[in-house]
Amino acid sequence: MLKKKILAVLSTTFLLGACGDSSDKVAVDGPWKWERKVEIICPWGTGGGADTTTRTFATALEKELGVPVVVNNRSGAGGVSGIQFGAKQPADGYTYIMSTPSPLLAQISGATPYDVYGTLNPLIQMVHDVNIFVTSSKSPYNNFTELMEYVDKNPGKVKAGVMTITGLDAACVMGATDGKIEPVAYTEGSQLNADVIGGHVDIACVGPAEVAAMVASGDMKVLLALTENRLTLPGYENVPSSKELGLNTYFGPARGIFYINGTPDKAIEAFEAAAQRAIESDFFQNWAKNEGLDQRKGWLNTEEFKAQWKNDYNSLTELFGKK
Amino acid sequence: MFDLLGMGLRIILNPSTFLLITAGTILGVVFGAMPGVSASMAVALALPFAYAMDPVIAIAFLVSVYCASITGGGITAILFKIPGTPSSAPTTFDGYPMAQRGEAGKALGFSLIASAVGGLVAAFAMALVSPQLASIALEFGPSELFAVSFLGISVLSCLDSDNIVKTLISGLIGLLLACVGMDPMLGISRFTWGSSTLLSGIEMIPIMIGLFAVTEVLKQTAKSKKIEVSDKEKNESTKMKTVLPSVKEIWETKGTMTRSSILGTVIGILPGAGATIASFLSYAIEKKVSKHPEKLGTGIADGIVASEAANNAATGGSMVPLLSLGIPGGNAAAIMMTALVIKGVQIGPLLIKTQPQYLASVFGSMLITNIVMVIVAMAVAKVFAKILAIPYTILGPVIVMLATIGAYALKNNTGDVILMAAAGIIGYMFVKLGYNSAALVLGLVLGQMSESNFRRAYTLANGDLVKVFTRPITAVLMIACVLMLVYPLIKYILRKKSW
Repeated sequence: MLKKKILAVLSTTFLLGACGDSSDKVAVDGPWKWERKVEIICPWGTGGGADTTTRTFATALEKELGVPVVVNNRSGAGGVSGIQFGAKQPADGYTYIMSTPSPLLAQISGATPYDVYGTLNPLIQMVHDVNIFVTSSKSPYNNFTELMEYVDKNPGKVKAGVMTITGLDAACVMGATDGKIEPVAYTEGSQLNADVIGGHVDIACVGPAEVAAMVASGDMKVLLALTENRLTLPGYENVPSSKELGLNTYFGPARGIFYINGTPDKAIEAFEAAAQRAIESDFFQNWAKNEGLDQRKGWLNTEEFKAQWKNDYNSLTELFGKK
Repeated sequence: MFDLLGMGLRIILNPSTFLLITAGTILGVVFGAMPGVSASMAVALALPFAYAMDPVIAIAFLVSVYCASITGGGITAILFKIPGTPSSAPTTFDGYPMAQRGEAGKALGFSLIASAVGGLVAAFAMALVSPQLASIALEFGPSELFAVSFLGISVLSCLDSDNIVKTLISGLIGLLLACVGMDPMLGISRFTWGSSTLLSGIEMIPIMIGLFAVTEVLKQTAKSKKIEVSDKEKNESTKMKTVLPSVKEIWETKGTMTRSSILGTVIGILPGAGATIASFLSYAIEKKVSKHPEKLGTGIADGIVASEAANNAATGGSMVPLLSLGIPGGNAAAIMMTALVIKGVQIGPLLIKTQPQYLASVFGSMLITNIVMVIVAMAVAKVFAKILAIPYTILGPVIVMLATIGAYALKNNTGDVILMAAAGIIGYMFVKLGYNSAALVLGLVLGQMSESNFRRAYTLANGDLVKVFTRPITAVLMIACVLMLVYPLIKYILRKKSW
């Protein structure tokens, strides 16, 4: 009996998965015709920010392309494994890679000899998250200016928790504090948050979504938003932005789609057009708003994204490049 | 707090919610039993279903998947020596020998009862003293977490008392393997020889599947003649009804049950530590306090109870900081948090005052799941146990196939399959040469946690070692470590005197 039940549950699961959104519409974008499923390789595991963004985008894109869009998670080596795998796929316009600047940083800092910059070609940007500095509500400083005064009086005492020492968060700490605050690497986000509230580490560089609960409950206060403009999230009205303090540091996780060398131009153009409609759809926009991912302009077309990627490469090389 | 209990039960006992939780439990047990599908992956797989539900019910559903998947991991650990989830690796130590003796039903019974008890203890701890427990968890910074993981490593000295040197060497190999990959503090690669599989470190799951499952197949293959006989015996003895543990037998493990449930809850609460570390530590501590430590590992109930009660208690424990602080205690809890946040729930200290229905729903779900689970898992186990009747000439290759799929599914990466195969061969050599695979796994599990926390503590204290070790909790734990390390020596000296 039970065996049958389990089988029933499982088969329903697979059926639901198989027939989700199999609309008969075949969209034709210019001279390119989508004939079979499109695969997006996500070089990070299931459940994280990269994965959820890609999956939401894939759902929206599927409606535009008229063919299934499958997300294939191939995690490992901070994203490099997935990119390496993706680069080996046939460049026929049906395989794309999702990425952030993190694997690029792994190359710049020398953690991997793999040529990430030469492999990934920017196609479109989906979202652009922000980074903020937070501290325990019991800290003696209430904003970034007071923090830096405290650092000047107590040199070497203040440390900042980050998730990747060669990541954008560490780059934010180094950039904004002129190297006066030392970044300390954490491997679990939960431990970092607990250590900030427990006072084991002084400040942390994180994304607003990761600390929303602790900021709302008053266990953490926000010192700085590393952004061009002040954040519009509720509770962040009095948080200064990098720009108004004259700090030239704006790194944040930019999640985009990249194509492999040799992908046909027609496919790239068709993908770009369909992706724009997908990103601008109410479905995707509502999701982004819920996630607090509406603080920066998410959508960038191929040209804009290429310019930004090059800019990121140059400024990150300046901060972390092998001397 | 009884309001909370009442509210929880009212939410959960609604027929449709109850059905969903039962479905979640089945899903969890089945996913958990599949090697390579960890508890957090099971929760991630269940997430799309939860999106469509009311948030109060969604969290109850996800909790049921989470708890049940940890239990499901024990089924394959006992029957085939394949730990379904990393946290059920210590279950293989005693569960598999019992199954080999034809006591599979008994072993599964102990595993399920212990899981349920552990889960229930944690659920009550969560409902009654959540805020207090969470504030204790905040006292654990990097130096304290280093001490906890070092306590786990110091337990190596007594995993196999006949072979202390070889066990220590195995443990050190594990610690060495934990160093492979990206340096946790500096982000440079270590011991990777340019391989991208090794850059992300040596994953626990392929190593464990290799060391336990593949090695076992190799062992059985090497002595193929005997199997024919024992298969026929097994056919007789795998009838589950006849060998279920009696109430009296279960009552005899009450000490282990209590210790492991409490330990599991506490470890689950600590950020960064999870069900895996809880089950290993609990098993090791059982080995320390047991009246007959030499029997552990030969197939006795205490060993199964220690591991399974602790890993299920840890699932409840990890919900404590999530619901009272908004800090998930582990990966699976983090995924649940994402689900709640998307639904617009504000997690944090105010949750219990403003939206107690969430806490009530988690609590109620844990209560019901842990009870329903025993029935569901028993039925699933019965199906699985039938597989034992298949001749090993067929079962062996199927196990290797499952192991390969499990290793590949982890990251869709063939590199992990190679790691698994290598681990299987090394495991076979270990068995032949008298080294200890469990010690290697323990070193691998705890190596990264202890290394990164020690270096973090060292950096935060600006390189002042005295400052690192004089923190009160750290100091107490480190003294416990020293005592544990010298205890076998003292026991040895005392025994000599009495002779």
